Amino acid sequence: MATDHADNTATVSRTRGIVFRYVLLVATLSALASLGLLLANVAVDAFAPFSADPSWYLVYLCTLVLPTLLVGWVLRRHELLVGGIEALFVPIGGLFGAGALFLLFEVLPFNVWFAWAVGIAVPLAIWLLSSVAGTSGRLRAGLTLIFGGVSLFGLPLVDVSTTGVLGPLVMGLPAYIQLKVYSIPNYYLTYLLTLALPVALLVGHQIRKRESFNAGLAATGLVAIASLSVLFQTVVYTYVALVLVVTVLVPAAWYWYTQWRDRPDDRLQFAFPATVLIGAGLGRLAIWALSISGPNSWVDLQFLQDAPTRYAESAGLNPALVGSLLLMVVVIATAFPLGVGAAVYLEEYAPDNGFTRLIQLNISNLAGVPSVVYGLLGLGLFINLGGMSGETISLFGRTITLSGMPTGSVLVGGLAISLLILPIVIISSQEAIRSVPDSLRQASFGMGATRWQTVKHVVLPRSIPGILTGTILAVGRAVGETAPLIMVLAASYSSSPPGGLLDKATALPLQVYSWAFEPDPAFRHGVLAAGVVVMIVVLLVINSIAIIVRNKYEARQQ
Amino acid sequence: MSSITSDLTTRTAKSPRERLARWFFFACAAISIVVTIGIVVVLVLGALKFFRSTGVALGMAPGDTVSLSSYLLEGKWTPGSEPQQFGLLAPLSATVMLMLGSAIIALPLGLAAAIYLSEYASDRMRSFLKPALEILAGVPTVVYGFFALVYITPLLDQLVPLGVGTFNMVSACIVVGIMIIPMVTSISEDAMNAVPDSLRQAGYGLGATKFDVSTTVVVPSAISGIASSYILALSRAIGETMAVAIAAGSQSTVMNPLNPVAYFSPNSPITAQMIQLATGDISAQGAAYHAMFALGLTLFVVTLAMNVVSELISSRYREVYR
Repeated sequence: MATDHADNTATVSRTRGIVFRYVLLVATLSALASLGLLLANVAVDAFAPFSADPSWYLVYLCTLVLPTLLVGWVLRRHELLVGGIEALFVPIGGLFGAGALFLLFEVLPFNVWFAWAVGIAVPLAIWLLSSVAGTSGRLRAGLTLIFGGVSLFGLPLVDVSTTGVLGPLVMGLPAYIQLKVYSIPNYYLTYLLTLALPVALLVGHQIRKRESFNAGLAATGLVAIASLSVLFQTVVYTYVALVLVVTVLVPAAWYWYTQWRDRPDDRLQFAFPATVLIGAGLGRLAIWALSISGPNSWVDLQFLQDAPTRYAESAGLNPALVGSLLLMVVVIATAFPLGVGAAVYLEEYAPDNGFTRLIQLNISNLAGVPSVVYGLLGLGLFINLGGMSGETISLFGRTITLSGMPTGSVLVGGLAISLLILPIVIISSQEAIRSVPDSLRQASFGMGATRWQTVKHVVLPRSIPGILTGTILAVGRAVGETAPLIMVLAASYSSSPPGGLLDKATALPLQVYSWAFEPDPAFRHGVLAAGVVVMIVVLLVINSIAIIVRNKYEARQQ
Repeated sequence: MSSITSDLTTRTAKSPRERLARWFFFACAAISIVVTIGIVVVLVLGALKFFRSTGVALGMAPGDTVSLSSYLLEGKWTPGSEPQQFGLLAPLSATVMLMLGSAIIALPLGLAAAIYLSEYASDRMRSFLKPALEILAGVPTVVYGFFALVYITPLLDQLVPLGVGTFNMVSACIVVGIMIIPMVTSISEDAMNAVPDSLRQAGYGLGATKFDVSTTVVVPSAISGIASSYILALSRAIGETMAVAIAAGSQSTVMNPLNPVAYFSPNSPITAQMIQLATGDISAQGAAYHAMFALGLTLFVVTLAMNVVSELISSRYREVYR
């Protein structure tokens, strides 16, 4: 009787437990599954995979997918797959870097780029020369600052009308070159001098340090030859090819070379990138030879290069990409120093009193303020100066008309977003700083170091991976933020890329938002989905940078 | 030799360099206070201008202003058409609907995920599921709005017998609910992980099954953390902007949040109305412009109150285990 009873409860509760467990699992997975389904829908809309000829898939299956799977399976058994994927990702990452560089070139025309490169070259040369000459750190810094200031901005007190030989001295090199020098080199020569030459010297220098002088010379020569050889091709513009050489070929060759030399046992891993690259090339060749039509994807080069139009076929999001890049620059330049500084104060300097607790409480509450409110803050503070814009005040006998920053500019949008992510940057930096063991600080103090020296030489170097990871993730969030931008830009976003920080801005999420209300299904299911895909790719790239930074530093610290 | 001694004597705690560093870091930390003050000042100044704005366009006698009582107690929100009316109840009812609708999705799913992760999942499963759930919060909200408008609404239109409009609350509630699941899960799971194993062992010792231990020991012990995660997540839902601005339409009307049929029609919450006002064709000095700040102040006060309550719950009612 007793056993009967016990058996009964056991079966009942076991069923209940199993059901409960699977209900929980299904609940956990349901949200993920729905997001996965939605993303699959977006991919289908954006890439239109069903519009391709079936033989297109057959060709790539044979040349790319099957060989990659086979090689990947073999490498996995030798535990080399991760290394192989890494080796493949270096050139792919370089491709993204090249894309970012081309977007930057749209903001900085090559003549401006050239002028500033010359201006920056002067203090750089002085720094290098004086460090070769072995001067003291203070003298070197002073010389660089003085000559750099004159070279970049000119001498402030002299009348600008002075021309002739003194012109560059008075105006600073960048302004002088832009105004007075008409015979500047063309695109190719500009980028050859400002990008390829420094990269060649840098690579040579690194190789010389590790190997020998001759090896360094050879490396510099190889980069130079590669940079010059792009002149002998007619497929793309020479400067495009040059940038690709610098961002894709050189880092990939560098990485492959060091891996090949340092890990002789793992050389099999290069089978993976080789299979993928050769397979992709062969597939492309076969498709070209057999003239098979591929999928009619909405995401293509034209989409990335063109401005938005009223016609779905020709619409693109190039201005939005440029705007997002500039916004990111503003956000990083402001949120990173402020956030890290605040975290250092709270963790290293702050006394344990009420004011510190107030700041801490305040930061955690700021993190919970809705993003749209930060938009109002940007609108009220940066544009209207709290209602004071347009009013006149008298200061020391002079009347000044107050005016806020230009409405809808990159600067205002960037500042609003940077205030929005500031609490996130502070909190993640605090966590990184807190994880530095106290014994290190004690050791530093024990050797007579001051607090600032301890922060600079012990705490920050040790916590920088965590700080960088947190900041990059926060920047990723900033890229997707829309509401504050809409508030400060007041729907005035333009369809041409911004040319500077004070120009009217546009950004990826704004472009997606404005396309969302197009009634045309070609927009809804084509252009809009393509825009979302581009945005998600940008986010993925940013988050993978964060992961790479963390892994790289963690490996080094252990 | 001399340089070493001079270094030792100049680099002390009182040297200018040390003070400069200290003040720089302090200034960075003080910025956060300045930001808070800035938010409050900007919102209050704008709201004050709103309550002082007058005009014939408002459909009122000259000299009359938008009164606080009419803002708080009336239910017609028509900033774009004449007569302009600013009754908070209309967008507020939409905000309450958004909160309830997303709560129905996020609270059970989030809690279930938290229990699964903390009590049932193997280590390998956890290391996969936790970052995967965080992705839900990492997708930009404008993308969620696009999902709701382009994929979820047509699907609902086929499923619901009466059909739903192009813009509706239910699709917005679904995506906002999905978006806030990670918030519920991560905070609740932290609270459940903080429950000491001895309590679980005691439960097993009394003959309880894993189901009994999870539901009658772990969840009640972590209830303060769970409650605070719920409130935080709902405050996030209230502040959510882009998804509702895209999916929930542009008109606000007073609706009963407890009436399920109401969710099939469009209704624009506070945040979406702010976007509507910002993108609409309004002059920078009119009442509609300043209404944005009044709405912002309302939103700020409500979310701040919810965050503070959540913090109080988690600190005051937390069981302290040692």
